[in-house]
Amino acid sequence: MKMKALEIIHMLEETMDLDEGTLTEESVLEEIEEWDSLSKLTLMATAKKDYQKNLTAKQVREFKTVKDICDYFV
Amino acid sequence: LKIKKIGTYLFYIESFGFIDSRMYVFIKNRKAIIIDPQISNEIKEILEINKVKECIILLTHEHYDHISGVNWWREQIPCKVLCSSKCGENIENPEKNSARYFNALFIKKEEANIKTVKNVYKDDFSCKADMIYNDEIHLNWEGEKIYLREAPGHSEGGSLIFFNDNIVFTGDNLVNGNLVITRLPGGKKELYKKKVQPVLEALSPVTWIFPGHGEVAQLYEVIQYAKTERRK
Repeated sequence: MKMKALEIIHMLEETMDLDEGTLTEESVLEEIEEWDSLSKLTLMATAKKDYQKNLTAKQVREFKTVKDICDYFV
Repeated sequence: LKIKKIGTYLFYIESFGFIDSRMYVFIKNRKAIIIDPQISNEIKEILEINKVKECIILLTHEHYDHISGVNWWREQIPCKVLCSSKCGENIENPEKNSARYFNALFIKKEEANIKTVKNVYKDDFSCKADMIYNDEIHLNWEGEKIYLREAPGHSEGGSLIFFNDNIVFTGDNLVNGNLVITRLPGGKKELYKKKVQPVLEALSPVTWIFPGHGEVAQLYEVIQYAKTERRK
């Protein structure tokens, strides 16, 4: 896995308040209890603050797996 | 609209749609304290009936769902807004007060449930404080002792607002029916444990908690939920 993808997975674990190593690229977002509306809000804020990306709610709605989010940021 | 009576004190309570953020209002001598204002014609009517001519607005923290009514209230009645200095800084920026990202909360929600919030929502919302404080501030408001102290944890600009000796408005640093969230932007679990938790733990168990979300209850009832949840 690329370094950047690992960084994004780590950021997602922090966003969802999950232990390190919980998520993989294959993780399906719908199956993660912590992938709630607050995590989505935090992801949008982090995208802007740390990655200078204007992630929209519509784009967030379309993410299905952790890999989809990694691909967006990479 | 709900009313909570504690001794001789009467508090009006309004809830912000499906998010259930709470706004509290206390009236005395034709003046009012509004905590975490939201748009409410019902509360406005109550203020008119009580011939209220000025308000002080206190903010528990900077998040949009707790400040959404600041500008609207300024248009209704003379108001002064007081909050912590960090809160004062963050409410001026839609990215820092989270208005910019707030529509994430609408994802996969039934349209009927989010209607009331969506109708007033503005993603570029910002507002301003008139007075800010650092560390803590004591007020004597119409003979009532009010004490605000900085409480970072849920957000950077949090405050605990003490009303006399037996009531605390905790904002989202203590909510009823949910665990405290520190994973939102600006939240820090370590700061919460260091700066907020010890203050709450030092309170009498029968202190009345007016939380940022959920029903007013005494401290022992509110923390019972948190204890049960953590054991799961």
